[in-house]
Amino acid sequence: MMHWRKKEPAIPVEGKPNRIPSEDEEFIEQEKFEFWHRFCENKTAVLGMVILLIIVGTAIFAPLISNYDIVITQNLDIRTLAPNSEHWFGTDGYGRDIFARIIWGARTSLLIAFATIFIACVVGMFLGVLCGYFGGMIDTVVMRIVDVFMCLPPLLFSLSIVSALGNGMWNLIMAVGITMMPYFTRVVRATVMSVATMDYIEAAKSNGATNLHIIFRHIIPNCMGPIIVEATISLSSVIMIAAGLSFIGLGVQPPTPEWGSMLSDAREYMRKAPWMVMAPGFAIMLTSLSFNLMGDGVRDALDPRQKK
Amino acid sequence: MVKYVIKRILILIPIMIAVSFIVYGILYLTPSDPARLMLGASAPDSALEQLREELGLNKPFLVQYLDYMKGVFHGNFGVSYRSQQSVFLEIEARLPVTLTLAVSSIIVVIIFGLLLGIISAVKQYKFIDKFLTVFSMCAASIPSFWLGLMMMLLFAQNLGWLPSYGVTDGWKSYVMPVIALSLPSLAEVIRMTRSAMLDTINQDYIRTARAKGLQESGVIWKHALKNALMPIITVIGSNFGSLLGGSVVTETVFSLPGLGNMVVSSIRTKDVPQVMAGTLVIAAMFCLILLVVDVAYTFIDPRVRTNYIKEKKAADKGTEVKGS
Repeated sequence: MMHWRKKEPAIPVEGKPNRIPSEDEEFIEQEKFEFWHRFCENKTAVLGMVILLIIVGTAIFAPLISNYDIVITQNLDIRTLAPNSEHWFGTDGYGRDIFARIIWGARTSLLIAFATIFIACVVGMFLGVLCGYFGGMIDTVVMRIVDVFMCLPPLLFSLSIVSALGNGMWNLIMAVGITMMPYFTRVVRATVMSVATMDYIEAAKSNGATNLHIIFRHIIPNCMGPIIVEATISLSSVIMIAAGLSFIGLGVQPPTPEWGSMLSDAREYMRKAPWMVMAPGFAIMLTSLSFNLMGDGVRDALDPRQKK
Repeated sequence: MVKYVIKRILILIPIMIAVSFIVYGILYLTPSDPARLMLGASAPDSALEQLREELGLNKPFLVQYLDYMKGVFHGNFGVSYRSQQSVFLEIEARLPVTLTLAVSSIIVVIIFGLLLGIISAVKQYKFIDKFLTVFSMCAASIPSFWLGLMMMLLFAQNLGWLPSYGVTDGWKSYVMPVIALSLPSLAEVIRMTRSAMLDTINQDYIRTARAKGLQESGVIWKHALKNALMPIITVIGSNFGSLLGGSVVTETVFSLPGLGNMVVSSIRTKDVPQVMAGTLVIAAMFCLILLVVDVAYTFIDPRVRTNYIKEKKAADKGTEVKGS
């Protein structure tokens, strides 16, 4: 079991602004610092974080780098141009600047990745706490359903949900979110079950704390470590699944710039304009690599015992 | 032991039924009007209504599902809305392609994954280990469809060594799809094998084996690998799932006439029975693999076997106590 927070933070009490930090708070600060320190010792993880920060920065500052108009406006006069000084990565089949589309595509891809993980986290946490804390019938039923969900290959499962919901970015997010949910449910349930037997839970119960109080103040904070690890590691597979679905035409629809669907557009021009295939795939690879590197680093930093 | 295997196979039946229920439930929500699809846009309303009645589309969801499952148990997976033929014909034609692709990929993954992982562990911190670590990190991050496209550019378009699409050229047409599909899983198996081997290599019994003068190769292959195999097999099993899912994309990239390609094109034409049958067949293959993995545990690790026997004995005793 991982101790993200070993003890509960003291509640800031109103009317007592100049409180001296308690030992608990100092302990938590120390824990956080230690986590950060261990993470920074891992050079590859820091490299992953730097790459990710660059990609996130590009996504946030996309409007400063290029205009959204040139991302969607078609200009057939300059179609399939090779890379040159004006169009760094060339232009696509509709005369749109590929560099600008890659930049704006970062927004789409990151939004999809984070929104998907958010959905999977929230639902997984709810179900996991429900199963792990209360147990009994609910646990059996939900876990059997989760087992069945896991019998479907992830990409295929997302595919069938997308086919039911229809194309589009938000449907894609929903579909991949539901697909990832069982993995989070399992992780949360396992952690909750081990946390629930701790002495401080017993103590809280004997103090007369309600279940809701125990869950929100004791259980969930202690589950954050494993959830963060699971989320960072899952982000890379989410990027892959989302790009793959967009690639086969079942995800983000044109003209919204998305790396997967850019690749699928590029396929038609492979003979004439092979450079169109390079940039989007490289962008997907770089993003996925940064998540993979960071995921390993976060896991090792949160749980040094697992370190290989 | 045999009992355990049989029990495991019997559990597969409710799981498969539950999987079919979920898949049916999801695809039931697909917005499509099969009657309109089959008769065309100009068909009169009365004919549409009649066809819906015939297909049982006006019945409640559960009745439709039960009817469908009745058909499945009789070997009738439904009729395609497009071709108006049994969907099984199409699946029969396409299954070999997907099987060839998935099975050869998993063979590549197992052989090279174990080999490279062991090399990496034995030569820990040497150049080859570092190289393989970087290689597997990058390989795990390459989207397989992009890798496929890049290989097509190089080997098919520029060098002309391999065909770029279809299955007309025998084994040559499978070379690129298998590489593209297996590389991400290969990376994961290399990493898992490396860390599992490192765990066992530092154990006391390995030192004992070396101390009594066994050959190094024997120590690695017999003593260390056998003990490291459990987590590796788990990873291989779950990766077979990603291979099956990934085959959907890979088949689209290389235009291979496999199940995945069929599912994708059927989703585009809203041919629900075809999608359903394809998805169910792929899911069934995955469930079978999970079963094989579970059974493999008992062969590899005697502890799993004895645990099962112990549990069973405990359960028997439990009932005895209750009975008396």
